[in-house]
Amino acid sequence: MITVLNLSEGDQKLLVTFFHDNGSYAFPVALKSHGSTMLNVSELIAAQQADANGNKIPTDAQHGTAVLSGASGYPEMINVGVSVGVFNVTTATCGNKCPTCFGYSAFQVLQNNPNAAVGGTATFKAQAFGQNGVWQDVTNASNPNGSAIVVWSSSNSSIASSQGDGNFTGVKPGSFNAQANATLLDRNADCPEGQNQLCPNSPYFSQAGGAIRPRIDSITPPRGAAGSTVSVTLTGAGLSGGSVSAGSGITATVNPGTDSQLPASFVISTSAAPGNHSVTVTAGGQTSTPVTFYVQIPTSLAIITGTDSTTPESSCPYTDVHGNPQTGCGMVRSFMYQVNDQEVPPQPIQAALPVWDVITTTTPNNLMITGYLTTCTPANTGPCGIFTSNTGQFEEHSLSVCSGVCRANNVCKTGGPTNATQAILLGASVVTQNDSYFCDHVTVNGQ
Amino acid sequence: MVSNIQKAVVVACICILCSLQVPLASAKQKVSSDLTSQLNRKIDRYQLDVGNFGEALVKVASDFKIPLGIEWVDNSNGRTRLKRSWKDSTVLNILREIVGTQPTYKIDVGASVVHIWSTTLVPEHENPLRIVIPAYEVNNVPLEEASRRLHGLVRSKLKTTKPSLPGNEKPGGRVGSLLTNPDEPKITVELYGANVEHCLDALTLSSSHKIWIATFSVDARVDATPFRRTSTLWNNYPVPDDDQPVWDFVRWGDSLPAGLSSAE
Repeated sequence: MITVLNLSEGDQKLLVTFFHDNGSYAFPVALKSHGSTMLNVSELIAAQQADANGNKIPTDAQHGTAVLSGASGYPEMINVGVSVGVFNVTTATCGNKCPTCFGYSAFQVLQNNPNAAVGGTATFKAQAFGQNGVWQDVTNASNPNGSAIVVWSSSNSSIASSQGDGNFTGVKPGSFNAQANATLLDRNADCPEGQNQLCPNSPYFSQAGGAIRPRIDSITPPRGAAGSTVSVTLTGAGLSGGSVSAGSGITATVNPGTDSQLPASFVISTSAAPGNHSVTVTAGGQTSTPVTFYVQIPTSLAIITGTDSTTPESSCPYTDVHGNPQTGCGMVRSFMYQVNDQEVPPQPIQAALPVWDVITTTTPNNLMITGYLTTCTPANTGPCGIFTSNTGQFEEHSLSVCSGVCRANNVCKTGGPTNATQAILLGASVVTQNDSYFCDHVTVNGQ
Repeated sequence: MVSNIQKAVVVACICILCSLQVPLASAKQKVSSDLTSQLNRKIDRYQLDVGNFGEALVKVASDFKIPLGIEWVDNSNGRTRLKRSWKDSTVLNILREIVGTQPTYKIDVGASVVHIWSTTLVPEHENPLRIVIPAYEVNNVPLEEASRRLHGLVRSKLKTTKPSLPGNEKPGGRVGSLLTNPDEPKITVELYGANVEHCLDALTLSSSHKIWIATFSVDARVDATPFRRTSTLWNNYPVPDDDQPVWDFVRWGDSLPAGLSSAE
């Protein structure tokens, strides 16, 4: 005999499902607010009336269980009071040592978020196949009165350590199995009679694979120029012994490091795609989530404020068109350049790049320039072993002019301009400046 | 005969150098003890696998911080791959054995810079590095400027007579530029009566570029001079007579000039 009382302020539709050795029988119950009903199982058996699925309880049924649920089945909140009177349909009595007579017949561990970085948490879930034919979540089950006990463990605690409830903390890169041992109440458990008897149960085991990957928190510097070699440091966890990938056009060589810092050398091809590249570390067979490394292209030059000076030359040597030495007047301008990349706003190039230049006069050529003395010898060739600093700075030590036009009767005079194009070659890139030479000064791009 | 006269001049100039150049002499003294200890350093194991003679010398100099001046001829012998290993040796022995792989080359452990050269391949009277510079003075300038001024002084010794400028012809002029690395130290050198080789030594001792290299052609001469033509290892542009001679500087550990590097 089962008495069901609706404790809520509203009507409730319920379902009582009787499980027996050969199947189940569903009996719908509709209760008004605070209404109640009594179910006599013997009468249900005797009636042999088919349920909605056409099932009946066999007349020879000797034992079974009853599950009370919402009308739509599991899981659903119901608010009822139940007085259990009958579990054994023969004797109309039942022991009280097994308060939950909902059993299971299978068990499985499933991946939830099975991959995590070192220090992060990988999660799994456990399910048991209930006698109602639905997989029940038993991830956090630890109460024998709840009919299920699940104990979690790791197949390799040096990779991931179990924190219980399907949570595993990443220790170092690698793969592992999330394991769970379960003790589950048997399906259609016949509740024992008498004192101190355990509910009938069975052990189960299941596992699912997970992985712990290295973690990159940052890369320093985060930029490097095409055609250069950049020393970078990756900071994170689980990096020791890892290999580094930086995408097409960047060859990464790892240097000895620690678990939290991995130095590497990036050889950036001149053909490497400009812009963002994904950098990953692979260790223990696992690959980190990427961080971004930006491939710079030398795009513009900026004269660094406060480095600019011009010195007049009242007597300077030059060679005339016949190759004979002459004396003229002119000047020398010195300043520092900063090489910037293609970003908006421009960012300093982070690389030591070979640098040289080519100067070609255009029009007008009022200073009658016929000779050139550029960074490398012979003029307008290169490279010649001169490099920018690691932060993309270099010095224009002597942007100069010396002309006979600027000198008359051994006295210097004004004159100009002679316009010229100065191509500054930085690795595989070229930045072009427009120079205007006068006897007493020179401008670069109008400055 | 010419060679003997030149040798006498060189010796005289070196004597002048020793007597007048206190700053350089003291600098040499200091580096000399460093150089001696570096050359005598015991090396348990050392391996070399490089594409040519010049690369081998530069690598050893870089690995063991040896100031080095190389005068070599870029011929097929010099381009032979060199693969060797040493056990329980010294830096000096390693250098000697490398030099020994090339017929006629000699090694001279100078006061401050180790020199590698061959008087057979480049006779003294054909070597523009033996040109004596009466006065070489640079003050607080980058190496590139100091080298440019030395080049100008050598050029002035090699100038040839050209047709004079007609009175009605415009005089002309030149524009120029010199790009340098701002991290390089500014150097000051004063030498009187030193030859080009010793000037180059002084520059390497004062700057961060501790290796200088002069690369000579097998037999070509600079027009109207007895001097052997030179080329740069940094690029393949031919150096015209009006720009001869040239030399290269390399820092310890820097990427090699294209003309020396055997790497792809």
